[in-house]
Amino acid sequence: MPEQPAEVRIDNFDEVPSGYTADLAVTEALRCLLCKNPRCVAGCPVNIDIPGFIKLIQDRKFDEAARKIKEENALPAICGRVCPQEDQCEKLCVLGVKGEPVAIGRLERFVADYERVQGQVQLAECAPPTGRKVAVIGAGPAGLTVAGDLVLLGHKVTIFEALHKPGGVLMYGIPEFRLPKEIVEAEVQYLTRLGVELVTDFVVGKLESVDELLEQGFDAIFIGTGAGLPMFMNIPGENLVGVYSANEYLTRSNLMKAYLFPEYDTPTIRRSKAVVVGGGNVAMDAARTARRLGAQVTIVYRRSRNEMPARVEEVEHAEQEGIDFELLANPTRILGDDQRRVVGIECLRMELGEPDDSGRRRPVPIDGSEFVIDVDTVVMALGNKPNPLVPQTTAGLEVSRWGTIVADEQTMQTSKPGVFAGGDIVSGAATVILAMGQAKIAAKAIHEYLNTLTPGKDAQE
Amino acid sequence: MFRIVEKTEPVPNTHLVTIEAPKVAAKCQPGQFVIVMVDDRSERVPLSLADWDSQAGTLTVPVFEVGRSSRKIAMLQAGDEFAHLIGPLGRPFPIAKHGTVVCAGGCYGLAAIYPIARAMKEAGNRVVCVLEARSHYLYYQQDRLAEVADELLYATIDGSRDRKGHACDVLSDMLTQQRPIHLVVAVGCPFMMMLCGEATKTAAVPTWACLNPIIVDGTGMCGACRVTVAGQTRFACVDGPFFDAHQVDWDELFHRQAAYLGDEVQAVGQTDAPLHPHHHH
Amino acid sequence: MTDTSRETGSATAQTVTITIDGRELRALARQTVLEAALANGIDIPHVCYHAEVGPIGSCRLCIVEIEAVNGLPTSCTTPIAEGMVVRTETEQINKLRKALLELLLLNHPTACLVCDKQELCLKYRYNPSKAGRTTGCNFCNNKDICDIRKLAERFGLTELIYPPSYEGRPLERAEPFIDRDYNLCVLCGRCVRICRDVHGTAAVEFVDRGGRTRVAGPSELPHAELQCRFCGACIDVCPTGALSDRYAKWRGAPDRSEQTYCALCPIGCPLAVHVRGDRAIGTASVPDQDPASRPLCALGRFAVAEFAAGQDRFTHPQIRTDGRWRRANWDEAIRAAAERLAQYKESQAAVVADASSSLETRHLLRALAELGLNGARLFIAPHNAAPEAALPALTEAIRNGQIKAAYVATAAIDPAVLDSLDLLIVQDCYPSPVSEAATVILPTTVFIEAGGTFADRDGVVKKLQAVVPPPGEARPEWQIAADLARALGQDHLAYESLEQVSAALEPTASNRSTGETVEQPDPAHDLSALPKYFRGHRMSRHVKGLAQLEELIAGRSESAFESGD
Repeated sequence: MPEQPAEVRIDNFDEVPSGYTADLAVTEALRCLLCKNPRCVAGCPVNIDIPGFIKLIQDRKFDEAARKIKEENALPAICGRVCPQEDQCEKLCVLGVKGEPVAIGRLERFVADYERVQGQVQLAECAPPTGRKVAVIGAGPAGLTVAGDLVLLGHKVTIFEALHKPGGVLMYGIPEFRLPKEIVEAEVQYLTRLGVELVTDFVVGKLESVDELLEQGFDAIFIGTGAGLPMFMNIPGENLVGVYSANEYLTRSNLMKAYLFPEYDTPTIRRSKAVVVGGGNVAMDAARTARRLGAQVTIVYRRSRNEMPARVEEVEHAEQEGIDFELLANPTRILGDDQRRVVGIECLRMELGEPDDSGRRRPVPIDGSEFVIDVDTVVMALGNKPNPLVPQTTAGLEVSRWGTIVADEQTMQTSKPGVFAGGDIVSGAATVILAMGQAKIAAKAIHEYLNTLTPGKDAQE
Repeated sequence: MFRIVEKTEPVPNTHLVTIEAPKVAAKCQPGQFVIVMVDDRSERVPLSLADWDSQAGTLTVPVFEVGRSSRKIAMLQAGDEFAHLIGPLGRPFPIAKHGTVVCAGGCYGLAAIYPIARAMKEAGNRVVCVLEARSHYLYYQQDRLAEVADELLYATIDGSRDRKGHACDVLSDMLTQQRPIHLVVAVGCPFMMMLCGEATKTAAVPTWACLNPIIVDGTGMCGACRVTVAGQTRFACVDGPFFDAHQVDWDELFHRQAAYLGDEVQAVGQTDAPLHPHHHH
Repeated sequence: MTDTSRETGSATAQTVTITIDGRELRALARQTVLEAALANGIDIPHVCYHAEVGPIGSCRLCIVEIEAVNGLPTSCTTPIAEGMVVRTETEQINKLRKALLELLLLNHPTACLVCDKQELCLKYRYNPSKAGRTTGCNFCNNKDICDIRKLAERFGLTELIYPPSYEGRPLERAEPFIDRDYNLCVLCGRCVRICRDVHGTAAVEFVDRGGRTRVAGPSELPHAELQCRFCGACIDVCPTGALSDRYAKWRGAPDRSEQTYCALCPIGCPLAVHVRGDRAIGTASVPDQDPASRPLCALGRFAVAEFAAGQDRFTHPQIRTDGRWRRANWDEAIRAAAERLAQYKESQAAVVADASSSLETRHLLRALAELGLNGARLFIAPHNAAPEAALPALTEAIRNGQIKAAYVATAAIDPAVLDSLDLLIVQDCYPSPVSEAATVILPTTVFIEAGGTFADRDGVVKKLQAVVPPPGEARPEWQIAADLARALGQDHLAYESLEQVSAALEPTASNRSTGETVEQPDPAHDLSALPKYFRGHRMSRHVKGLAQLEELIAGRSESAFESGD
């Protein structure tokens, strides 16, 4: 897959992999054996008919291939870019046993981009109006998926989004160079063209509560508010000027486009030396963003390379871009000058001990091994917890001790009648595609639930 | 789109902007704030509420011009629109009967203190408003405050009206005179609020300050607005904006607020010429 | 503001002996008491006097006691005489001065001056807030350099006797470059005098009368709208924040000022560059100069610092591979450039310098052309030339295929023929259509970042100073040219310093500036003569105020046409 070389791409925010050309896509598609009993489909959280769309690529019927994917997945341009296919469909590919699996993700991306760039995006047909109204809270991957599925089934869907732009993590969390915002906007536009109503600048839980929405006549609610609560280490110096949560760092860069300051008003976060604490995809995103803003970047992670939860591809990209890794190291405190600005971060070396609950070997500090890295920026990318706003303002909603909404696995129904939930708010911080998977389950269950209600006044006879 | 219904500059550098936002206006409560964006390139700017009218569907916010984003807002006129307005945000200030409640306001706080003063009065409190300004010509909203307060006390830094000094000096005077104060609510710049807290510390009068750190998302998602209160990290946008003035790490707040002043210099110098040159507000 | 003594005329400097505050001094005979005092380090307070505009005696702060003279004359208007005995501070004088200052400050926001929490405020709020309307020192861009503030501190102002008021005059921020807040004006009249008396214009004037006298700028003076030439002298002499340089105003007080020359046009005005940290924050005319000799034009006064500090300055060498730019280090970039250029010899290659290039740079570019590239042609883009029209001969030669490769140290190349070149290597400070078409980009300094000599339009050789460091890895042009020539085999060009190159210059050959030497109108006096291009870059694209100025000029000439002026 052609990619921007590292020394070029650290100066821009353009996408790294430039995508297949039509010929490259067909060549790759022809590798697929079109198995009668495809193993890959089971690995897809949204059950895309993978051999189905690949066959269409082989036949150079790219538009039809796009429509095939969209039968199950409303956001293929996004998933093709951000799904960890290597852990899902591609992991189960027969060809992967002895060689390289079919590059299913890249083919999905190709098809979605082709359709969008050609401008031939065909609107699917929606079922006749049912007269039912559904409120979707959060325009992130879960919310967009639920909306996309329900609108096709004829329901009137309104998405309420707290930020001024839809997309959730797709917009504020994942950088431009991994997921161009133009694509997110195009995908959202597809939904609004289908008839989904999108209301931004609306904070459910502050402006109106879930109960108020139900009182206003929404027949069902889907909560997809995500895991937007940053985690900090609570070490000394964490509130110094120059210490950011990954959420803030990425929101400034991705949503508020601080990398285009002063054209965009949100101030720049250009500094010269940054440390990013964490080993997940968010940490990689933050580190690679800092690199593009001109900083020398070091990732500090308390376990070893093998335990890093980030996608291997993103870790490799980070390495190629000249980002250093201090593995088996954990911060103890952050140091500042007399203006309370960050000047360094002190870390302790770790070694791996016995496995913990997650099955990974627990890091154990080595006494007396403190060392200091000189930095002026620290980004804490330790993971996120569920944002408590909606759970705290909704009566009768059962919430776990971790702050996640408790929802039935088969239906995503919560303890409150008519209220469903999915995505990070239920699972804790996870991936875009898992959120979409739960959203599909929820959409199906919501549809069935709506059918059990007495017919709405606007229902067609 | 959120249209500006009215815009005035009652005193130099302070603007009162009344915006059409029916849904938000219907839900506003004392102590809350909204976030506005002039256009899609703007910063998300938090502004305390000066008042709201659920009938008319409007809300009013004070804007103090102190940098690029506030300048952008200051240059708008009635009829212009904000691209985005989000609210109401923050925890409403708890209103209860305490006895004598002192509402101290300075700069934009002279407007922002009004909803709290009004609600405290309605709850049966004796309300004393302390108005701080650098000079007598910087007072505004006194008439409105007079409608809801039992007493108005003035502090001017240059001594041009009543007590020379800050709001904290008026508080000190009141305490020296052994006047009963059950609660103090302060809204203004951190410097003013910090001094109010210091004035009431020994007498242990509960004092609440409306903290205004830099805010980005406003819903508790990013942590930009974190402040340290009683040694704990809190988010001003969802845990606040009011906190116990005696427990706030003010030094940290001042420094965190100054984080981007250097970058802003670059932007302010390149701000576009006003849309309407030589207009008067 | 530096107060220096002014010699007015006499060939032999006659001196007299006077006594000030018990000190015996020798002073120049034609000086005033104030001038003599200031020249000797005795700082008599003053506001309306300024070395560049002379005295007027209106603020009266400089009053002194002179033996055998009645009353308290103003020292600014009193000429010295042999044996004069002066006392600059007495209890009576100090009391009067404080009262006079307060009167001066009647309409000026003074709260911060008399606040009792100043120390604490400074501790927590050391940066002034960037207010639109200044309502106190802590909201004023002039805070760190304000003459009035210094006087208030000196006199120990802690209370106000007179109730202050605020006029509420509209802020004027629509003009190019200059922000005006006349609510801060103390009516010292320095701006009126420097504009009218020193520079012969009337862009600011006193209007109204008596107690309502105030200063008005071009927005209120229709005839003056045709007159302001944006020399910025008014800003430089204003003691308060009433007049400020929009770009520089919030950058704080400069740490130092260095003198060099402006290289934006062949006039080559002496330039004082104000520096804070390692960044130029503004420029002004050199203070010790005879101020009537020449003001700076709008570019010299307002464009230099902003031009040097642009966000999209080239900071690293770049090489284009497979259609994309990537960073390279200097060695690699020079090698890449040399390898490619070496394939084009003699008449197939061209080297293009710019009229603004220093003599050292031109010397080395010439050596590069003649020796490194075995007789390649050397072109020199003239001053203020639009790229399309700069070098017709070069354009023609490229178009008909004679020239296939070019090494250019300018952006003044006709974009229409760029595609016809097989090889283009650029050394420049900013992106342009020319750099977009290049294979290798080498980042250069601008003239305040590198030394060098140049000959102005009268043939006078002037020496530039490197006042601030360049951004990133940008290098002086002469150095790049020398490195490249060496990489092309010219080892004898192994200059290690600018001085060595300067020494190697042939005095006669380079003393004439090339390009047009036709008598040109003076941009300091005629806005339509302001250069639009520098090295082929459109200046208004890099300096916001220049774009506004161009609109203003277009508007003015229309109204001039209509009113029949």
